[in-house]
Amino acid sequence: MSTSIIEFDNVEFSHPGGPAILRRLTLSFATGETVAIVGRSGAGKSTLLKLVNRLLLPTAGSVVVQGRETREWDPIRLRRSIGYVLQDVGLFPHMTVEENVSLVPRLEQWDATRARLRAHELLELVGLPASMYAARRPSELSGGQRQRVGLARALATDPPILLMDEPFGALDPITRKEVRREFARVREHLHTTVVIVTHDMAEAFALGDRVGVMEAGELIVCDTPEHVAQSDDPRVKDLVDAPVQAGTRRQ
Amino acid sequence: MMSLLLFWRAHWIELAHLVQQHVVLVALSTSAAVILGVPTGVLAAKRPRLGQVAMIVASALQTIPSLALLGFLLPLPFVGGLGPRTALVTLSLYALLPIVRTTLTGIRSVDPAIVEAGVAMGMTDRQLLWLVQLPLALPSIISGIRVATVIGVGTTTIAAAIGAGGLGEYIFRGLSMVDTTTILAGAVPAAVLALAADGLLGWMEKRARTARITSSAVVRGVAVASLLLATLAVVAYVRPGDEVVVVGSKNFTEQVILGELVAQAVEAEGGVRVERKLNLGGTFVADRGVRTGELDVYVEYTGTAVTAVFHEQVPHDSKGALERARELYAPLGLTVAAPLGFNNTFAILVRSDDAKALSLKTVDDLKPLAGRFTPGFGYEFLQRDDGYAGLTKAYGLTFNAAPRGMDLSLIYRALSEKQVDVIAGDATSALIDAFHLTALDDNRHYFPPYDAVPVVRTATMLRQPALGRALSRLAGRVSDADMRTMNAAVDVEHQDVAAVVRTFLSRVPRS
Repeated sequence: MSTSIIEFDNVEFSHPGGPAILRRLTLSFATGETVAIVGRSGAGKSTLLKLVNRLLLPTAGSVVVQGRETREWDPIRLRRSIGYVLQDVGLFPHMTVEENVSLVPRLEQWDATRARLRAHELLELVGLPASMYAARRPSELSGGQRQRVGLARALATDPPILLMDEPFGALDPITRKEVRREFARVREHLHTTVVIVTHDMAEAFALGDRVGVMEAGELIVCDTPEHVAQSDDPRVKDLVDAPVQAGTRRQ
Repeated sequence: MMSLLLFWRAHWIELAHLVQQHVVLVALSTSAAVILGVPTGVLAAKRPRLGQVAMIVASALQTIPSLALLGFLLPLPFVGGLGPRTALVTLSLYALLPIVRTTLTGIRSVDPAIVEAGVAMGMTDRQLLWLVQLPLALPSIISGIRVATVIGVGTTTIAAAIGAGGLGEYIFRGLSMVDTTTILAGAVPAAVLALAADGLLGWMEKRARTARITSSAVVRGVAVASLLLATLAVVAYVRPGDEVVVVGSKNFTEQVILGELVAQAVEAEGGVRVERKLNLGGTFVADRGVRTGELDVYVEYTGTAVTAVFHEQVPHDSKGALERARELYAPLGLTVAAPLGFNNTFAILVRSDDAKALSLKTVDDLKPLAGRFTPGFGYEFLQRDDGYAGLTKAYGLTFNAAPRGMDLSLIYRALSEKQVDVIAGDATSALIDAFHLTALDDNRHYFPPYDAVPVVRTATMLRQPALGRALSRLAGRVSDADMRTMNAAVDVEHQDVAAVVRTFLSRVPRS
């Protein structure tokens, strides 16, 4: 955990003519750690993720991924080295589970057998036996199962970075707990750096080696869960002391 | 109903051929529209401003009446001309709008989360399009192809007007013969084709929605379909044999009979294949065809040739008119063969009841009564120099209303059903007797002579002696009475054109 794999240096972001969404954000992520970014809707959490895989470029400041500014990366190459899990999953409805999971390997010109074996291996890892699930369509899965497929798909090429945007946000509380536990188990097997965005403080505390708290485009604190829990900042306290929010759905 | 079945039984080979041509026209034009329309729709989805322009162009094309569009394209190089080419271009342009529109909406309605997932996974624009957007838009695109095809089956019936064949042949033939059975013989199969296409594409649309469609499966399907289509097109339009004489005719019964007469006479000489492009949409279309070489011969009338084709004053004697026509055609590489024998001048017609009650005998007798009469004339008569304008001037006629323009095939019936009171018809029309009409004498000799003469491409005549022999065989052999009898056999007794001509020709000795 010595070298940093992602570095935000004084990053500002706003849409052309729009208000500032991120303000002078400086933060670095060490190789292999899991950072949970927590904050209310509109705090700028998702924007932070999109700046990492260059879905967005900073208005000012720089984002450096694996030693190179995102601005200088070929966006296709950059994105293929970063796993991305969305709240809405975004599984391709016209493909089977196996085809969804093996898509990036296939885009990377892996041979068919290798891509297939990798897909099966990942499905086993996320607790969906390939023999039962590989040939199914996303429409034949439950919400929790879909989310696991989304995770398997993101991990397909064993990317050094995994971004997760409210990955459990659309699930009901029981499934959510189960998938989260599943993720924690999977996490043990990975060397990947994980950035996970959530509005749920309990979730952030459970999953993050460090927890970052954002409010209105600013990073207030980013530290170990223990330190964050003891923070004196009223804005952080607000979130920490609001257990009601835990388990509710976003929006 | 019975008569329809009998008609099909008697013409089943021809019917099969027309259905085949119809299917080929629809399939080829729709395919062309897909090849052009889907990329346009994709581009429109990616570039909204360009998309708007594309939609405006496609919508504007849709608003042009199909016959008018055919007319615009006919004289153009490369796309124009008689036959399937012009029809294909027209039909493709019509099929464009639904396909562009559904491609555009299909791509736009893909869930943004799915697109974002694709982009974030590192798909290039092209991969995103082929692996995600197009497969998900496929059901929508197919629904557009479905609409285009069903509309196309209907629109294709007009292809017959420019000699491209298809089921419109029966419809136009039926209209000119005022024969419902013949109209239905073309209209019913066209409706069945439309329903079949709708069913088939509806099934494909459903499958695209539920089954897994891979790009390679689509490519395979398209390849198989193209191969099938190419074979069908070759069978429908390309016939073996090198030398061919193309015989044309305009789109009324007498013309179709004369076209068939020339065709059979040439066939009787042997040694050459004859292709028929009968029922072409009027003098201007036929003239254009013989000038460009798409036709080798069609039968024209001397008066029509001089005034309507060349816009010149026509001598009011038969011999002078023929000579003038020969002088005018010669520089175009066209020869006017010997007259067939009858003179189909215009006849001003009224109902026989009116003629008797008002003792009408000549066109002059109309003058004091014209204020009570509603005139009805064919579109061409209204347009021509020797038509309506000249007639009213020569006789000083003032009718109670502006003339109603109507299709030539409907005009006799309109008169007998009292929708109009006076019309200009053909002197040799069988419908004069059938509808109890009386021809008024052209006592001021307003109408020039209209002797029927074959207009032939000189080059073809030199290359094909059979054609020359056939035309000299027919010279002077068709009298006014013969023509009226044949017209009556087809129009009133609903006999088959080919059979009527065969009977007549068997009594004309070989020269």
